[in-house]
Amino acid sequence: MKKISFRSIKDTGPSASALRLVLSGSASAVLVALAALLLSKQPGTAMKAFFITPFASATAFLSMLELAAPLALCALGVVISFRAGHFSLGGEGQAYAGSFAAALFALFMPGASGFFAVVMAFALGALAGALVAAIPAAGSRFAGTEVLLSSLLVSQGFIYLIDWAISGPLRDSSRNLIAMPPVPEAMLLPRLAPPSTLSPAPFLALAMCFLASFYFERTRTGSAHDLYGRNSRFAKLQGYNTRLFSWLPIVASGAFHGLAGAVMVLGLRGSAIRGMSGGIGWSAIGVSLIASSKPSALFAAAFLFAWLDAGARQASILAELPADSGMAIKAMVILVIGIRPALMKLKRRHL
Amino acid sequence: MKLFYFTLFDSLGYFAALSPVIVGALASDYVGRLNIALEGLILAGAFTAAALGARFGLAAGYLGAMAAAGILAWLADKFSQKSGADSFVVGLGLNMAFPAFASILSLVIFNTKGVMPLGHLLSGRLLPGVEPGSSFFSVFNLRYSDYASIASMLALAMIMQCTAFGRRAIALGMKEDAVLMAGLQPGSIRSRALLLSGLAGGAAGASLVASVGAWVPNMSAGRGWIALVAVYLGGRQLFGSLLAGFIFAFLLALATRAQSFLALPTDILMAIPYFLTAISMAFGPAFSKKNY
Amino acid sequence: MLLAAFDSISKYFPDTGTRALNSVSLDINTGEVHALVGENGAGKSTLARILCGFLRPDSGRIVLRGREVQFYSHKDAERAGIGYVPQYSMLAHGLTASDNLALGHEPRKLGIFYDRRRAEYDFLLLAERFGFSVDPLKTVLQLSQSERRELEIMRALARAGDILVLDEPTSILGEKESSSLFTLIRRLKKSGLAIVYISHRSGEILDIADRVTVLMDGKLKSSVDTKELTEQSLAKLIVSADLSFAKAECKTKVNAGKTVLELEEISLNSSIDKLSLAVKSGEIVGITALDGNGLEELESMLSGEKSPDSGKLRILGMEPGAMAGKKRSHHTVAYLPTDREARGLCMKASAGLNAVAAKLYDFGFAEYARGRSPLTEAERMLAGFGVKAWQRRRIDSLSGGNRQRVMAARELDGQKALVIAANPAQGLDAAARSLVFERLSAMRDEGSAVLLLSSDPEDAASLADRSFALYRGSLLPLEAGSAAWASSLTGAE
Repeated sequence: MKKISFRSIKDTGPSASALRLVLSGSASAVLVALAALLLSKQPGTAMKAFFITPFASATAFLSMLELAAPLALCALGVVISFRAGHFSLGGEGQAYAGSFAAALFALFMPGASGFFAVVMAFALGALAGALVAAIPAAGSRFAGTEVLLSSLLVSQGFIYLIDWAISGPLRDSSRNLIAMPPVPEAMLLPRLAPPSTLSPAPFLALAMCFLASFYFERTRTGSAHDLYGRNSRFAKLQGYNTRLFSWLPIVASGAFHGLAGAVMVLGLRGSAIRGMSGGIGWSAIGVSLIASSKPSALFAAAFLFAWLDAGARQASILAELPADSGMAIKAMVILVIGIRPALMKLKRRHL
Repeated sequence: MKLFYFTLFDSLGYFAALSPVIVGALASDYVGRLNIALEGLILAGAFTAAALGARFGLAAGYLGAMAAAGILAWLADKFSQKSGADSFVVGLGLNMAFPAFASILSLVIFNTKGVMPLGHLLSGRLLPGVEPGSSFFSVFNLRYSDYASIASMLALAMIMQCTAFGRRAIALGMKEDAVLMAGLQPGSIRSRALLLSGLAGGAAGASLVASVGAWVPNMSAGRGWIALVAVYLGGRQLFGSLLAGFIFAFLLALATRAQSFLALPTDILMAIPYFLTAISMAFGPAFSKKNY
Repeated sequence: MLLAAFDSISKYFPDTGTRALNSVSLDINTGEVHALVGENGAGKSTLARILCGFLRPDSGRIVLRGREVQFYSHKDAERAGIGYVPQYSMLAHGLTASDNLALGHEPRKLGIFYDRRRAEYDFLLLAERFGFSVDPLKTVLQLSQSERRELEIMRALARAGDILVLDEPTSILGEKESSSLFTLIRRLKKSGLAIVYISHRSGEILDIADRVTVLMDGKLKSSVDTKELTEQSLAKLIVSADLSFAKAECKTKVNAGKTVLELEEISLNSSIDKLSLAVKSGEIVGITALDGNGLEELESMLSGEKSPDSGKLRILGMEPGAMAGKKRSHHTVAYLPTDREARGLCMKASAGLNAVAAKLYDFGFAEYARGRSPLTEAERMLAGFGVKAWQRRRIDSLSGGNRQRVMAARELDGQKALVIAANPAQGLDAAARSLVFERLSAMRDEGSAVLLLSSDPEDAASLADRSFALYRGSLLPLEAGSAAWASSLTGAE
C-alpha cells in the first residue's frame, strides 16, 4: 500500500487563503461595527443583529448555512473559469437560467417527486447555465474573443428573456410576486432541521467544493488547468490540450452557476421569481477573491457573505440599518483584500 | 417613416448619455487601464448630481458629479498603483460599492431608497411645444441635458484628439518606451486619463438625472459596460467606438419602438441588441487598423 | 576637441550579481565616430545607458566640456546634449513621424491644443538641416525599417545636438539600408557631432569609426585608432573567447544517424535569409551569433511560434506547429527557450510542478492523486541538476540560475529524439553549466539530435560537433581556431 502524501506537488508553502479569510472576517467585523454606529438609529440593536442573533440560535445559524450554499456554488463556478484565465462576468444570467430551468421542470413535470426529480431539476439547471455560458465560450474557442465583456452581454440578454418568460406567459397570476407557480412541495429540497431553512444544499455545495479541491490539487488535468490559466503559452509547450481549456472551463463555470440557480428554486425560494439572481454573480466573484480561488476555502468565504447578508437584513428590520449596508460592506471587504498582493510581495524572499 | 424618426429620436437620447462614457472608456483604454468601474462611476455621478442638485441647483449638480466621479476614479487608480491591488479587482469592488453607497446615502438624504422625483432638475427641451420625434427636425428636440452630455463628449474627444496630453496618452498605449524616451512619466499620464474617464462618467450620470428629473437606483443601467463593449467593437478608435455606441443605441431604441408593430413583448426585444452585440464581438473589432 | 570624458565608471547589479562595468573610462571628441565594441554582455549597453542618463553609475565621474555633471534621468542627459538611438524601436507605431518627434515637447496653440502644423514644420526644418527624407505625415507603421531608424536619430538630434549614442543601429537593417545610414552618420560627423557607435560588426566599424574602444567582461580592454586595425585584428579584439581548446576533450566519435531536424531554405522577413540545415541524431550542432543577427527569429520558428515566410522546416518529418500539442508530450522533443520566464516556466507554480509538467500524464490517476510519486519524481529530476528540496518553492522566488536548472531538469530528462537548447547556460554558474553540457553530450551519445542556439560562442565551441555562425540571417560554417570564428561572427571578410 503506497502512502498518501499530505501535501501535493502543487502546494507552494503555507496557504494564503486561511490568512485571507481571517483578514476578510476581521475587516467585515470592523466595517459592520462602523456601519452600525454611523448608519443605524439603534447601534446596539444593529450590533446585536450582526454579532449575536445569527449565532445565538441553531435555527439562525443553520439558515445562514443554507444561504451560503448557492453563493458557494456560484463562487466555485467563478474559480473554475478564473483559474483557467477566463474572466467571465456572466454569472448572474447563468444562475438565473438555472433557476428558470429548474422551475420549468417543476411546471411541466408536476408529478415528479423525490430524489429523482431533484436530480433532474439540478441537472437541467446546470445544463441551462452551461448553455448560457456556451455562447461566450464558443467565442473564446473559435474567435479568441475575451469572455470578460461577451459573457456579460450574453448574460444580460438572457436575463431579459427570462424576465419576459417569468413575468409573461409563465407567470402565476394568482400571486402578488412576479413569479412562476411554486414548485410542488414534493419536489422541494427537504428541510433537515425545521424551523431553520437548512436543506441538503449546503452539503451538496461542500461536496462540490471538496471535489473541485481534489480536482485542482490532486488530478493531472486539474494541474494542467491551473498551468494553462497562469501561462497559456507554457501549457501549450507542455503539450496540454489547450483547445479544450479555451472553452470548457467557461462552460463548466456556467453549469455551476446554473446548479446554484436550481438550488435556490428548490430550496429557499420555492419558485422562480423575477430578478431573484440579483447581484449573486458579483458577490460570487467577491467570494472567490476572498478564498483566493481555493475551493477548500470557498464555503467559509461564502458563509462570511451570507452572514453579512443575514445580519444586514435583520439589522434593517430591527434597527433601521439601510438595507444595502451588507452590499457596501462586501464591496469594501473586496477592496481591502485587494491590498494583499502588496503584503505578499513584502514577505517574499529571494533565494 | 414616423416610426423611423421616433426611433432615431430615442436612440439619440440614449446615445447622448452614453457618448461621454465611451470617450472616457477610450481614454482609459488608450493608456492600457480599461476602466471597468465606469458603470459604478456613472451611478456615483448621478447620485452626486441628484443630491447636490436637489439643494443647490442643476449646475452645482453637474459640477459636483464630474468632480466626485473624477476624483473617485483618480483615487481608485492611485489606490491600485500604491497598494499593488489588481485594477480589475478594484474595479469590481467599486462597481459593487457605488450602488450600495448610493442607496444608503439616498436613505439618509432623500429618506427613500427608491426613486426620488426631483422635478426641478428636469431640463427643458430644445424646441418646447414641438412633439419630439414627430418629424425630421423634431428628432433633435432633445433635452438640454442631452446636449450638455454631447458637449462634454466633444470636449473630452477634443482633449484626447487635439491636445498634447491626448497625443501622449495615445502614444503611451501604443508604446510605453516612446513616452519614456520623450522624458514623460507614464504613471501620471495614466492617472490623468483615468481622471478623465471618471469625469466622463460623472457628466453622463448628471445628465441622466437631468433628463429623467429624478434619482432612480441603478439608473446607469449598464451604460458603463456598453461603453466598454463599444470601445472594443470600435477597434479602439474614437469614431468607430462612437459609431458602435450609436448602433447599439439605435438597436435598443428600435427594440423599444418595435413593440408597437411587432407582437413581441419588450423584454424579448430588449434582449436582441445584447445578443447581436455579443455575436458581433466574435467577428472582432469592426474598425480596427490592421498591422497593429 | 574633447567634448566629454567618462572617468572610471563602475556599475554593479545586485539583482543578478553581475559587475557590469568595472572602472571604465571613455573620451568622446567632437567630429568623431567612436565605436564601442565587445561581445554580448561585455558591458556596452550598460555604458551606453549610463552615458544617456538611463542608469546611474555606482562610482566614476562624467565630465562634459570641462565641468563635472550628474545625470538623474535621460532628460538631464538630453539637456546636456546627449541623444540616444535605441537598438529596438521606441516609437509609437500608430502616430505620424512628426507626432513622434514632437512627443513630450509638443508645440501648442492657445496654450493647450497640440499644434500639428507647427510640429510638421519643425520636423521639416530639422530634416532639411541634416538632410533626412522621412515623410512627416506617414505613421511609423508606414515607414520602412531604415526610415524608422532615421526618425529615431532625428528624435535624438531634436533634443540633443552634441553627442549621439547609436545602440547597434544596423541590427535590424539590411546591407543597403545600412549603407545609407552610414552616409547619414558621416554627414552628421562632418557637422561636428560626436557619435558613439555600438556594434560588433567589424566591417562596418572599420568603415565609419575613427576610434574603437573594446570592452570585455565590464573592463576596458583597449582603445585603438581604426587606422591601425584590419578586419581580422578587430574581430579578434571583439570575440575574446579563447576557442583554441575547442573540441579537445569531448571527442567521442560522432555517429550521425538519420536526419531529425531539417531546415530547407527558410526565410523570415529580413532576419533569416534562405537558411538550410540538417541536424542528425547523434550529433550536436551549434549555432552561435552576436545579437541582432537573427538568432531569436530562428528560435521562434523552431519552437513553432512563428512560421517561416518561405522554405520548409521539418522536425521528424512534421511541422513544428503539429509537433506542439500531443506529440511533444510523448517526449520526442525537448526545448529550452531563451525567454524561460515567459514560456519555459510557469512562474506562479511550484518548482516541482514545473519539473513534472511535461510528464503529468505519465502518472496514473491514483498515483497522481496520492501525491507521493510526483513529489519523489520531481525530487529526483531536480536533484539531477543540483536543486534540492525545493519542489514546493514557487518559481518566482528562485534566482535566475535555479530557474534555469528547474527548466533543464524537466526538458533534459529521459530520452529525446531532438533537443533544441537555446542559451541553455544563461544565468548558470560554471558548475551548473558543465552539468547541463554534460547532460547534453550524454543525450547526444544516446542518439539524440541536439541543436544548440547560443549567443555565447564558447558554448558552441566547447560542446558542438559542428558549429555555424549566424550572421545577418545566413549560416557560415565555423572551423576550429579562434581567428576564423571571430571573423565569421562579426562578418569580417
